[in-house]
Amino acid sequence: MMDARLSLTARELKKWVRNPLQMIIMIIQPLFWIFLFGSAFNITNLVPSNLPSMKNYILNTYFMGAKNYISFLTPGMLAIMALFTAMFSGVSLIWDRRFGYLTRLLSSPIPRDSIVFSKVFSATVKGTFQSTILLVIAIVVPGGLYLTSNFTALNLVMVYMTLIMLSFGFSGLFSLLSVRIKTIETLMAIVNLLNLPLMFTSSAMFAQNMMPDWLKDISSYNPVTWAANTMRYEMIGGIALNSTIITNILYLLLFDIAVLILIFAVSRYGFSE
Amino acid sequence: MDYIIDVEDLRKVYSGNIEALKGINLKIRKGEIYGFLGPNGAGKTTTVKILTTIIKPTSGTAYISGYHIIKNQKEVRKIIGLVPQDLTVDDDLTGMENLVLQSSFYNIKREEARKKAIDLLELVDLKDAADRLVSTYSGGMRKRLDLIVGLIHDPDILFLDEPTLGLDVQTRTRMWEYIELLRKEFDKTIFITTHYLEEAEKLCDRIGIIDHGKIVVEGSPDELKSSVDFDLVELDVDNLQEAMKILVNFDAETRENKIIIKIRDSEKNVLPILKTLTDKSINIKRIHIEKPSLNSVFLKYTGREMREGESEEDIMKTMRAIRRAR
Repeated sequence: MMDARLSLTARELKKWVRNPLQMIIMIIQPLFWIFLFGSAFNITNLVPSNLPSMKNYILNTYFMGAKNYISFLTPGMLAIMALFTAMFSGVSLIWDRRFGYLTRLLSSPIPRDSIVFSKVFSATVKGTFQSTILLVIAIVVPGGLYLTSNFTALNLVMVYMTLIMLSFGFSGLFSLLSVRIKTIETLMAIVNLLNLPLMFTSSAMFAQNMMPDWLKDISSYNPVTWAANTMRYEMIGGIALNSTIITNILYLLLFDIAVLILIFAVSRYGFSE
Repeated sequence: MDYIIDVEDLRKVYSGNIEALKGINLKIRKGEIYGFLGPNGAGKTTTVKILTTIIKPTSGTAYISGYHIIKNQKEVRKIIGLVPQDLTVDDDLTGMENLVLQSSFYNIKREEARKKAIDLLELVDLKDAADRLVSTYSGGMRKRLDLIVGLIHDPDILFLDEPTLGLDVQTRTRMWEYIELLRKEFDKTIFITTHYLEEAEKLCDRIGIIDHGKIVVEGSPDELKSSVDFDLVELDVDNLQEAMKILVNFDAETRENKIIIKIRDSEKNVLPILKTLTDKSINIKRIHIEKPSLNSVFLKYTGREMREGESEEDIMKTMRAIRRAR
């Protein structure tokens, strides 16, 4: 006996694995992110090379004492990648509606939420997979990510937990959109409207103490910030738990619970045929 | 509970005040093959969507096997099977995977599902293609797979929404054979919608002719045909206006530059008409006589004709569906 939530998730993942081009792109994409953003936004490059202490000052003051900017950026990019993968989680629901597959699902005795959850679960798996690739690449390349020497298995678990929580929340939110939205174009417009603002109002690329006060305030409400800051403590600071981490994880948890409730409510009462 | 499908005064108004159904009443017995025959946009698919709990009616009630379609939604969904109009099998999965996935919605054990799937694949001659991706299937193969996906949980009632829409003649004939086989072997109640006269006549025990959201007449194909007491005579003449003037005493009208006359016993009665016309030097290019058929039934009750045959639109629609799926 297999629950429809699981079998539908398996369907999504099968479709994903069977599309080699999609896989290749997902593997290449993190490279772009790390090296493009890693170079473009690396403000330590502005420091003349004869002032090494100035560079260290910036790294220590703004970048949590990371060895280089990429080390600071990588946790942020992990969060952004989770966000961007999640944003497209609703696309396949719209295709299902277009192809008529949804008609079949809606006439079957499955919980309506299983349709949404299959998209959310599979997007979370995809996002986590891509994050892993990014992480490996960032570590392997010379001059890339320098993990703290105190990095332990517990830190790794915390990193993944954070990523999964973030992926789940955003996948849920964006999958819910396609419960009502019927065209890809509309969904894309919404995704485009939100992706850059969500990225730039977070601490993914810059430390919050570099930001003007208004932006800092906004960024404190952004789940991407909660995740990025948490992962920085784990990866650069080597700290498994402190009060900031606990607060952030709690926020993420509340975010996920809110999304969970929304999924149950919206998919039960508002599924568009 | 005498009827397996019992529908009373079903109405559906879509947003924009589009009245799709204007009071549908249906009583279908167990084991019957019931056909909804009507042109595109008559309300056939809307009825199927309501009865399969996909959309809610604006008013009216319907019971499937005694279960209310809104209050007992879940029970209804367990006992019905639906083969929607669009091709709804998943292209990125194999035929077998599609069947096993569908069976998981009904809590059928995996082993049992595979066994059932093999039987069904054999039934529609798809066993050899079972482990191929559906994207490699032809249109007819997809439709056959679609049919058995709707059957994997052994439903009491099967809804087939335009089961042969846009299929070529050969494939359509085969689909009919499969549908008849289902009835013979499994004794299913089947609800078919179609706008092909021949399909309705060949498959259905009872037909409801639906037009503009209402059932205009209902009965077995033979009953319906015997209710028509005229033949249709179609004349192609070179002077239409002149000919119509001569035929003023007959039940005649023009359609698409042809004259349609309703007369009884056409074998006998058509000759004087032809003579009158030729005497007045009207040149008759072509004559066609149609004995009572579902087409004349449709004409009698709706005042319009429902021509048999494949419309360009149907073929385009199917082509689009397949292309989209790829």
